[in-house]
Amino acid sequence: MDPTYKAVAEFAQTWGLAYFVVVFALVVIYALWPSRQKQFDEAARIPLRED
Amino acid sequence: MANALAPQKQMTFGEGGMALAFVALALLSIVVAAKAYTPEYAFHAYLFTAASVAAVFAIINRYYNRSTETPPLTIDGKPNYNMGPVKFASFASVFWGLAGFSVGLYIALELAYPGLNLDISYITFGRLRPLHTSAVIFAFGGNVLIATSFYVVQRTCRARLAGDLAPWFVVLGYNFFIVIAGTGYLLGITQSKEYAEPEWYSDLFLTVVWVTYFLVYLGTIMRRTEPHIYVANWFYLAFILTIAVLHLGNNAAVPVSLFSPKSYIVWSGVQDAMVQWWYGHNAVGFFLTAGFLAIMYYFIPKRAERPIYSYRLSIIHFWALIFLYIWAGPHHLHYTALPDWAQTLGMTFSIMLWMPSWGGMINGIMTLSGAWDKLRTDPVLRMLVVSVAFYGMSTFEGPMMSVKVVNSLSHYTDWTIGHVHSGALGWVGYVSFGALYCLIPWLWNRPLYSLKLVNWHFWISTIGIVLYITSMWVSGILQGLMWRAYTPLGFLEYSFVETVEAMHPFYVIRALGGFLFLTGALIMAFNLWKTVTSTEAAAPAHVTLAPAE
Amino acid sequence: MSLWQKHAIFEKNSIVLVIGILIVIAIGGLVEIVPLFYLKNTIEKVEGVRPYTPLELAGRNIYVREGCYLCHSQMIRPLRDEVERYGHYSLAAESMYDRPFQWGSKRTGPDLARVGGKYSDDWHRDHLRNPRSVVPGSVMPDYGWLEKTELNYAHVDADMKVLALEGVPYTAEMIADAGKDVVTQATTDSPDAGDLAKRYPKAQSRDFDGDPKRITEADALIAYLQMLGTEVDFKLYDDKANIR
Repeated sequence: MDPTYKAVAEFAQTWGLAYFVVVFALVVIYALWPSRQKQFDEAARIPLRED
Repeated sequence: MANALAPQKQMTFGEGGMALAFVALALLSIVVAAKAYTPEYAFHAYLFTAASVAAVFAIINRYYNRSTETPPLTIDGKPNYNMGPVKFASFASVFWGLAGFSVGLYIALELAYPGLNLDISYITFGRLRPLHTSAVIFAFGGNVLIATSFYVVQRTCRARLAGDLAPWFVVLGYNFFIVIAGTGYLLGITQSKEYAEPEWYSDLFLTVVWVTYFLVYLGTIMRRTEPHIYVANWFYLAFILTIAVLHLGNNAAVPVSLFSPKSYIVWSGVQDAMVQWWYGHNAVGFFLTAGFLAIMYYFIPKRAERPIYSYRLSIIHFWALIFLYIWAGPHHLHYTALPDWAQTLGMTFSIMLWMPSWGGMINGIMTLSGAWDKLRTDPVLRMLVVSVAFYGMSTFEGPMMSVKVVNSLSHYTDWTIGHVHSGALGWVGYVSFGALYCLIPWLWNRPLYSLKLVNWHFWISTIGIVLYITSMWVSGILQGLMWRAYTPLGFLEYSFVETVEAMHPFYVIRALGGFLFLTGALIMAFNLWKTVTSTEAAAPAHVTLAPAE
Repeated sequence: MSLWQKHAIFEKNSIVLVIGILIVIAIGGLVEIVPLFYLKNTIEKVEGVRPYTPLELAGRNIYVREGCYLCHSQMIRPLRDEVERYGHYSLAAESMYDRPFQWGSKRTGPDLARVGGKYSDDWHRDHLRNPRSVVPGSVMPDYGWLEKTELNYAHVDADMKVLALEGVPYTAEMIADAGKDVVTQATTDSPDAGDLAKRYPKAQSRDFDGDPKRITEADALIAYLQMLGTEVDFKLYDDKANIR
């Protein structure tokens, strides 16, 4: 087994995995943060407002 | 001196620079045409010459006909939208759609009745198949994306399209690229990378067009009067950017000579395979998915007159989708000489991709909650919503087929073709048709000629799609099983050609499905033509209806 | 200003959004593609794989031009029925000089990775002229014009120069002799055939299309088909040494 392969795989399966989980959690928390409700509701209405 | 009194009309930097650039391109093309290694390449060089001369003429002509000032950004405080390029691209999309579907029908018939190849090199299956795929994906789909993106970005940013000549260069340049690519396939000019067949010089030209597209798009967003960038624009932006990156990576080739149409890709063998399917799968992911999801995020809320079901879900949908899609490429290379670790990554991320895909589907369909009755009364909205249902279906099938055991059966068979078409006809086709049925009446300010004809289009095409997908499922699974069938004595049961002969009835049914789909599209073209040429102005009802609070 | 308001710059600032998208889409591609160039076990150690002869290269370019890859794969998977039907599963090393790769994605016709030597030249000529004359149920198009079209090999050395630039081990001698080598390989009993085989081991030299008077596109295409999958001697190949 290629030693480089082993090192890279080990890193990806621990730190890489943890990193992606954290980033995903951040995106979800951000999107669901209660105080942002109003701003999102407004944004969602952009296509419906006509000029 | 009358001249001194009127404000001086001056050629803008863009007009002068572009005219000069096209003069240079025309001269270069003449030299290339004279010294080209093959007559086919000389033909393309002459096309470049003719197009460049036409461009110079058009720029100068436009300069003499225009008023002194360039068009204002706003009129009476309202944005002065630039819809000319949008009209051109939406028209082109209908034209290329009909062409692409017709070629698809013809090659389906060639597989059922090989005599139709007629021993004419230009129309053999091997040359027409890239013509079909490019015509439907890049010519039809691409023009739909350019038209809708230029429309949506102006509307949701409340700003005029950036650039004066640039938007026209994008739509005309893109369609010229399609002509070069398409005629090239018929003449045998191809680099054989699926969905990236055009050779180096077409690729270079497309790069210039695409960078301009990106700059126009970004420039429009930057001059927006709306503080928030609406989510549809995120998807369009991801589509434009990612396609640029993929195009450059997968077409990194060294031309044999300036005078040769041929080039050799810098990647080789297994690396080339990985780069190709990194490109190939993300052409699906970003061209055929992200771009058309942007259409969903604008046109469904607009048509249903309700905001998107969950704006928060759309944010998670966006980031999860673009992050996961990029990884899925290796599922096209299961059990090949690609290392196992890459195959495993591809399979894992493909399965995970199911989640954001269905998140997006739920977001699109649930936008109608509380207004389901509109599905009964508005066939255009029905087309848009059914497209999202097809999206859900093929994004469930895709992850399933990326599982290695399933793939060992489905790969190399018609099952893949069926899967692609459930996405292409059902999702991309229907969402595009729905968008065109909305867009063309809005652009020309006319009511849609006939809702009844939309209904006919919908049902005829739907029967066509069902025939297409079911016949390809059966033929694909049947062929996969026949390839691996053994006699009781342990010998392979079928010779290869026996498995080919078994496909015949399904190829005929598939062609019938394609014929019905084409018929539906012809009905649409007629309907849209009658809409544009009618003299009746649209009732402003659509605009003034207040959204239900 | 809370942390969450800071995140709003994604929705308000187009440049930040562009950079964010670029970073997010770069990760997957980099992780999957870059290691393929650095991990030594990506391509197996095998004897016998060599660059294409000029005639084979010209034939391969016809294979590409006609879109053969749209119906024929060149990638045998390590599955029992495929190995029995087509031969030893394909190695990454066998396509290491392939620009572009021709693994394909669909088998409307059979896999061609090891078609070399399975049929006679005459069979190939008849099959290209009219596939149904030798395989009655075939749906392949007729390619009758190939044996009627003279091969244009005036610039084949320019092709080889570019390939050499990209790393294919073509020597200056191979490039200089390219035109001559095309004629040698397409001629039966050429005195230079031995010389050619020294430069390109196992290269087969003969008139491939049954018309010794001229060199046609059918000559080149059949020469290419007849060498496919014949380079590696699998009696000598050590499966276990290359487990990945």
